Amino acid sequence: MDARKMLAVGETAPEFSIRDSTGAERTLSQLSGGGLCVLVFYRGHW
Amino acid sequence: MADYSAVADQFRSAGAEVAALSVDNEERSEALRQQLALKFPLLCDPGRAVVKAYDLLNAGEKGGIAYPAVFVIDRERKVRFSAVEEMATRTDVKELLRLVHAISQGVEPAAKPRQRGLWPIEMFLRATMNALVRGVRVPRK
Repeated sequence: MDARKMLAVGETAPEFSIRDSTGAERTLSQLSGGGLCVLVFYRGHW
Repeated sequence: MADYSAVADQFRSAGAEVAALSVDNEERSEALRQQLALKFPLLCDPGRAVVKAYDLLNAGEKGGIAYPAVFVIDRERKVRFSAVEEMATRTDVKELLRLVHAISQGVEPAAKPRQRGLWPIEMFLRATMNALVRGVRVPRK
């Protein structure tokens, strides 16, 4: 891996508003609003 | 993904919501969610806007997909844990759950490091995680 910038501990994660697989709108603030959000990025089938 | 689903309820009771994101569209993501009976939402980013915002676009792959990554993010949107690529795939879900418990219970430095950059928090979390996983060893005579 090169020196690609990576979101590090202590930084602010970018807010987003996108749909989930059921069509519901999801925002990071809403997901983490209860305390914490475990956000997993996966490769998918593309 | 199934690993996360197995402990999704435990993450929730530790105060954390699990969500997983890929560039797959809603139809494909929903098929995967049902196939694996996932207990958390699959977020769909076919436009790659979020993947790009997180600097995780692997443009070398067909159409551009996300590098695997895991973040623990608090309600102020501060990153409390991050692992990308090999680190993400090596991140044990049970250890992550212990980390989430530790963060929720405030078992981490209250003050942010001022001069020394960010590594002390990571070192502390790793040490805390290790202590939680393996227990604190008391030397014997």
